[in-house]
Amino acid sequence: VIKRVLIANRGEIAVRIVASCRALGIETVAVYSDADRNGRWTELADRAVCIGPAPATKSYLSAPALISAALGTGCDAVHPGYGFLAENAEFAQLCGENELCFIGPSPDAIAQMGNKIAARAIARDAGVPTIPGSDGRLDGIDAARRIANDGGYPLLLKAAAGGGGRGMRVVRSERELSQRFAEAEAEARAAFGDDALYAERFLEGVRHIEVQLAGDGREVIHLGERDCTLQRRSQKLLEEAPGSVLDVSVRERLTSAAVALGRRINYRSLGTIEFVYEPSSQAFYFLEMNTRIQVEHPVTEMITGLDLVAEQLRIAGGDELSLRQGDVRMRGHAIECRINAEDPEREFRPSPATIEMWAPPSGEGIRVDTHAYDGYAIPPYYDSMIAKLIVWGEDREKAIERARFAVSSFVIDGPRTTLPLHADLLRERNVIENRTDTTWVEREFLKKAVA
Amino acid sequence: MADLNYDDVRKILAILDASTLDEVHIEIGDLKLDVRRRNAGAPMRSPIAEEAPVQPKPAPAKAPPSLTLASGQFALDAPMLGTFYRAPAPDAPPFVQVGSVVSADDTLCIIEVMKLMNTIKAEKAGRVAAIVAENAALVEFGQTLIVFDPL
Repeated sequence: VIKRVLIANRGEIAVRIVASCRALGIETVAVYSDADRNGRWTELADRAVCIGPAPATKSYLSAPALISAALGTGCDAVHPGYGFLAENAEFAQLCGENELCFIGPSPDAIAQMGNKIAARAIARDAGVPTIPGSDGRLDGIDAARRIANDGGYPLLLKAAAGGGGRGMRVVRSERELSQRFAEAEAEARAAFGDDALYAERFLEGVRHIEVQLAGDGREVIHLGERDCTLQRRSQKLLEEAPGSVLDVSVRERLTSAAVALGRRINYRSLGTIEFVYEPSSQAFYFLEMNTRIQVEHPVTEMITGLDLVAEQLRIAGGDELSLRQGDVRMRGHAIECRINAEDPEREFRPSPATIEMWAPPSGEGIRVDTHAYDGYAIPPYYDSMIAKLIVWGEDREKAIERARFAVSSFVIDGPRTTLPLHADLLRERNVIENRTDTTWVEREFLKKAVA
Repeated sequence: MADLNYDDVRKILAILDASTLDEVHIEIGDLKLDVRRRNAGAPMRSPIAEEAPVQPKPAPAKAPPSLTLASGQFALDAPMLGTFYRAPAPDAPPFVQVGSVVSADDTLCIIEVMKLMNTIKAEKAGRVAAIVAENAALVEFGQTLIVFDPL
């Protein structure tokens, strides 16, 4: 049983983790960098410890500082949140070696799923469809050419060790191949110290749908899916649950595939299986598995009534799942808008100013997860997300209506934010009619806004 | 009487916070007050910060600045989080005690971070006025460990 958790993170997720710990009677120790002395989470936790200077590499990414802080304050567990060290197998391993319970899956599960090629192989073994492409690292440019000859162009080159769009190139024709291949290799080497690439069929007009899993090492269940199609440069902007474009039979196949993959690795924690979904063919393909709590977990909480972080804490403490698949009930529709301190009119440039006025919306079906407050000076060193606005409605239409109201009544003075972007998105015909794909925001929506 | 009360000190701190100064030195009669910003001398820059159109105001320190420092005094702040040790071994004599005179590069203490012993050395010469941190206890980044008088 976990008694005291070190929260190895900052911002809204640190605040969120304190809330679930408190609900379970678990004590919390917050950490902060020198630049985060006025972070809200440092006030809410039972204790707060300054772990290092502003740069994340010397604070939130410093495993020695975090482990020392946990040991020095008598913690028996570490919650990594998302980002930073949340999917770092070595950190999870180090926690275990120091008799700290890492609130997440085993280091092995993190390592397996963190390696795209290994993850793809596991998915295939579990009978989960994967995007047609190379079965592992490409053995040079000729291997890429062979795959294109079989599956056709466009082809997507990806860094084997990668993520976040780095080391990624779309090849539209044979003519482009050699140049794009060299670019992707160079970028992968620079970003990850490993220039191994793999290739797959580049799918267009697809949606991003992901399935929330929970496993206790014996049983794996799903908590429904989320639709995160509205993205800019592979960064999610707005997420929804459930995925309204899926019909009953596709949803059944998709969630079953995710559960099969979770069972294949005896998954023990919360996790998310990401898929691309091609509406034209109703086909879905495994993209990757995230072995952490995700930013957009609240939309699942809103439609299931569950506390996912509490579930994650209980599983880490050795409990069985608190419910079976048949007990999972879903009701209504939820939407999350990510509120970033960025200027949508100036290419989403970060706007880390002091918040002069902060008036979040409230009311039935409205939830705001945040660490911001009146007078909060947003430090320029970290992620620009300052809040998540989550709304619930009886159906998608009512949820969109409520989201419009909540966005329009949210007042943030000081920094530029993505609030106006969400106000516009929620009035877009394509969004209302749910006819978007993962590149629609950049390809059409933002182009129109500029014109 | 030039008494300085709590409210005055707060105002002085507010002035320092709003300014770009790193240190304020005030003398009123016999009373001397030195206020130093904790992160003074180490301005951090990140690529984002350089692009950012608006710089946030400096964050007020969670713990108040060390008001105990008298004129000329200086302090050693923990350069990292870890366990503070005054001696190289449990039964060994401490590196320094109150009254010890140290030269630059003399070892002052050890901070252990996950079994890695980091030797912390004096930046300049001085006489130890107080040892603020507790032996074998966790010290946070930036926490004052030892206060020195000038020689």
